[in-house]
Amino acid sequence: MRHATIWAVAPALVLLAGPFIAHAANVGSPAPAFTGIDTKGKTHKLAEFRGKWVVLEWHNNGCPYVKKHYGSGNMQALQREWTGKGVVWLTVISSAPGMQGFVTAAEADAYAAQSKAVPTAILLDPKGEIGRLYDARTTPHMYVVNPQGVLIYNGAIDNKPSTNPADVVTATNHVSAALTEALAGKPVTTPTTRPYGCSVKYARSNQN
Amino acid sequence: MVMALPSRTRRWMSGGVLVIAALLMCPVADAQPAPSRRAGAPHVNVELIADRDHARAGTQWLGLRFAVEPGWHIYWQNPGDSGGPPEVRWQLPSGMKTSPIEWPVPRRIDVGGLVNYGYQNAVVLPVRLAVAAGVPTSPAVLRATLRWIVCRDMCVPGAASVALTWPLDDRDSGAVASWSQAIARARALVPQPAPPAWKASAVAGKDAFTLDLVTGQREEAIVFFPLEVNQVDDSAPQALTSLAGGVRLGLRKSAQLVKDPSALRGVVSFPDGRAFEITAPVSR
Repeated sequence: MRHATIWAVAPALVLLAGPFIAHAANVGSPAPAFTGIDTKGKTHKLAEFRGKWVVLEWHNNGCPYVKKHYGSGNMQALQREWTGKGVVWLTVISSAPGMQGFVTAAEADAYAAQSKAVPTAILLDPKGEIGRLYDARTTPHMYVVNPQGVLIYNGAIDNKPSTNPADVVTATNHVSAALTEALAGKPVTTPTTRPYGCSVKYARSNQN
Repeated sequence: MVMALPSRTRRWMSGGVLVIAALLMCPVADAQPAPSRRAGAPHVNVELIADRDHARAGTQWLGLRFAVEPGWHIYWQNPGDSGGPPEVRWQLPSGMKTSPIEWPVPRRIDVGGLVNYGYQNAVVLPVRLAVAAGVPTSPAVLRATLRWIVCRDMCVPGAASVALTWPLDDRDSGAVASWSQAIARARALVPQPAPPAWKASAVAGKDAFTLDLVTGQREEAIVFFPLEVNQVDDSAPQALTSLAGGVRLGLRKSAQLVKDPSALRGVVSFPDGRAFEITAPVSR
């Protein structure tokens, strides 16, 4: 019995001890299971949203690319449209303490209220754990997960990688396109694009 | 301060009189001030330079010279994990045409574990200017509208309009020789096509590409900058193995890569500053 336990546990330990976590946020694969705490202090796991479509939006309110989408009302409109259709919208803030975009729960809620953002929840990820799990590189960086927990979109919010708010109007929004197609049972035409934005402000350490 | 005011006012008045006199004496064809060659913006100064003091039929070179505050950076044509390259739009006299910016070899810039490709401190981006026969050599005004993003741990978008006027004023005339050198140096840093004798090839594994570059001699250090996005993981370290006739690089695949490309295109840069464009066909 004891032997069997050790054999079962040992491979898992090897995986955990490895220096690399293989890219986990691959379109077509199960979205990485995360646990996060929102600005109300409530814990959320990805699994609790099984059966629903989920959007993950990486956010930093000081980043000019994020300001483009919030200042123009674009992000809020997307949140309204898709939460109105039953999609779970999670805004994730992975800025480390002292870095741009780091906010307390109260500050995050105040920014959301003042900008009329309506995500389902705002997850505070100051240690960058969820960010690194998803290999989130930019703000914004967008992911869409289907009701079976599979990642169907990973990348840029739209096809105009600029800081110019005027580009929002003429851009093709990849998140909306993916959700529209997937909700209609169609394959996602553009499942992945290169995300654009400011780099996610992970803590400066020897992490790489 | 109060005591100084009257005399300052007097000086201003006499200066004003001189300015009015100057205006009356000069024929005023155009009320606009001469557009400036230089512009300052947060963390960035930019200027438009040229390798000649006049237009000449054929090819000549302009330069977009960026001075970037220490600690900050602007981006290469492929910015890497985040950010975006400078963009320029030109307004030129008829008969003149610019080509797209040529990009000197960049550096890898680590931003908290993510990697950008870009430039720090100073860079000149050369721009080829083609001038048709019969175009007046001067006067001419060449206008550039620039947009960029400059980042340190946070990012600041910037924009500026600069213009070069031929003939140059006295001060700029004296600077053309140094501008020409600066542009020549920048052009020397733009990657050349790989020598025909070189062979580049890549094998696609599950998580990484193995890129082999045969140069004919053992290479100890090399950095690969992808020209296409979504192929290579920009922040992953590039695992290097020296080979007798070249070098091998392990390049982690991008999380955004859906299907192996038919080739990896990029720039390889050597410690001595040489840089070359390579295309490595990908096989399984």
